[in-house]
Amino acid sequence: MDDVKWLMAREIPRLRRYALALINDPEQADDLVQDCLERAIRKRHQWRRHGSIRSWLYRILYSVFVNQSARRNRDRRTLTLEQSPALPSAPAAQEHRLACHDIAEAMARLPAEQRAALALTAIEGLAYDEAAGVLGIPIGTLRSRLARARDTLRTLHEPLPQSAVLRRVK
Amino acid sequence: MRHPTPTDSSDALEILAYADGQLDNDPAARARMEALLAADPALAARAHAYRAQTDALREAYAHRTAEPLPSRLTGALETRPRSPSSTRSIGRVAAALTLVLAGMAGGWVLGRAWDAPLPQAAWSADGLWDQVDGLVAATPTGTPGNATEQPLEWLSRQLSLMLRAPDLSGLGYTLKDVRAVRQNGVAMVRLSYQAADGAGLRLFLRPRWQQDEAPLQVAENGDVALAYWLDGPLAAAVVASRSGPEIRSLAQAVRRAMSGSALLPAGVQEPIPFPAPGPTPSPTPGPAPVPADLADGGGHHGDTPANGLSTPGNALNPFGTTGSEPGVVTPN
Repeated sequence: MDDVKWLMAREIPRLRRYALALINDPEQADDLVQDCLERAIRKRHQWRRHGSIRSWLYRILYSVFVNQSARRNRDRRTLTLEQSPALPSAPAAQEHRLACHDIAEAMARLPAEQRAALALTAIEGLAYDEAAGVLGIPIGTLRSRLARARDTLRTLHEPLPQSAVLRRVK
Repeated sequence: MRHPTPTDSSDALEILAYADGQLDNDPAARARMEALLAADPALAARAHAYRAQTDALREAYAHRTAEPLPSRLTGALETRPRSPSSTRSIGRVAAALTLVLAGMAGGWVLGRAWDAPLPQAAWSADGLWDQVDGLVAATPTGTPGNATEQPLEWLSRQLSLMLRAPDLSGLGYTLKDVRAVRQNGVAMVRLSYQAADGAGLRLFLRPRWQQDEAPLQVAENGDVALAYWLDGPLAAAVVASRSGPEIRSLAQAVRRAMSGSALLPAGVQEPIPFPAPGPTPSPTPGPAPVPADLADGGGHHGDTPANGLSTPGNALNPFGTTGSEPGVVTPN
C-alpha cells in the first residue's frame, strides 16, 4: 500500500503541471491536485494496473476538474463543459482581437476540453492513444480537438517582438 | 479564413501527428510525411510552427515541476479513508493477514489468465493489495469438474500429465494441505507447505493450453513475495514470506523439483500418489483435517489466529469486504 502511495507521490509534480495548464491559477490548480490525490487514495483499489498509474491519475484529475467546472458553470447557469462545443468560441471570439503575449494566458482562453487535450500531449508528452484514454474520447476526437486547439492558440498567442521584450523589462 | 489549410483535413492532422512525434514508431508513415514536407515548404513551415508551439508550451509550464511540493499535497496521500486497527499489538496478526492477501494474490496471478502477458509494470509488488477486492468475489468450488476427484488428479487430467505434489523436503518444506480453489472463474490447485520453523509456502498450479514457457517473475509486498512462471501446460505461482531474491531462488528450486518428479508424461509413471507422502494428515472425505493455521492463511506466524482473519467483516480487513479468502473447499 505504501508502494502505491510512493508511486502516486512521484507523479505529483506532473499532476501540478497538468492542473496548472487546466486552471491558470496556481492555488486553484493545487486544490485540484489535492482533490485528485484524495480521491485516488480512496479509490486506489480501482487501479487495475492495466495502464500506468500516471494515466490513471491524469484521468482522475480530469474528471474532478470536469465535475467541478460543471458545478461552477451550473452556478453561472451556463452549459457544462462537455455539452457545448459552441460555448468556448464565444469568449474566444470576443477576446480574439487581444492577442496574448503569454502562451499560458492563451491556453486559458481555449475551451477546457481542448486545453486538456493539448496539455496532455504537448506538455505532458502522452501518446495520442493514451491521452484519448485519459479523456475518455475516441482518438479521432482527440486529434481534431488538438488541431483546433493549436490553430486557435496560434491566433491567440503572438510572441512579443524583440523590441517589445526589451521595453518590457521590469 | 485565417487557416491556410482546413483544420480537420487529414493532411493537417497527419502533419500535427508528425510534429507531435506520434509517427516516430511508424517509419513508413513518417517517411511519407517527410517526403510531403520536403516537397511543400508551406506544409514544412506548418510542422515547424507546431513544434515551436510545443516548445513554447513546455517552457511556459516547466517551472511547475521544479517547484518544491506543498505539504498539503504530500499530506493528501496520508488520508486513510478506512483505517484498519492501528493497535501495535496486532502487528503479528497484520503480518499474517499480509500473507493471506499475498496467498490470494498468488491465485489471482494464475486466475488472471496471464497467458496473454500483462505489461511487466502490472506486476510490481504493491498490486497485491489492490487485487484483494477482485479475489473476494471468487466463487467457492469443489474439485473442478468432478466432485469425487482429487485436485491433483483433476489437474493431471487437464494437463494430460502425471502430476504429484512436488517434494520440497530438500528445501525444508513439508506438504500440509491440497485444495481446489477457483478465482476469477479459473479453477486451480493450491498446495500449502510448512517448514519446521512454521514458515509457510504456497504453491498455486493451474492448467493452460499453450506449450510455451515464460521465465520466472517476482513481485514483493512488504515481507511477502510472489514468484510465478509458465511451464508449457502448467502455470505456477509460489508465495512465501521471503524477500524477492529469496523467493526467486526458492521458486527456481520448486520449479526444478516439479520438472524432476512432479511432472511426468502420462502413462510413463505410476499413478498419482495422492496425497503426497509425508507426515501430513490426509485430506480424507469429511471436514478438512488440516491444521487450523493452514486452513486459511498458511499461517506461519506461530499462534496468530489465522482463522479469525478469514471471518467476514473482520475488523482487520482493510477493505471492509465480506470475505477475505477466495473460495476454498477441501477435496472430498
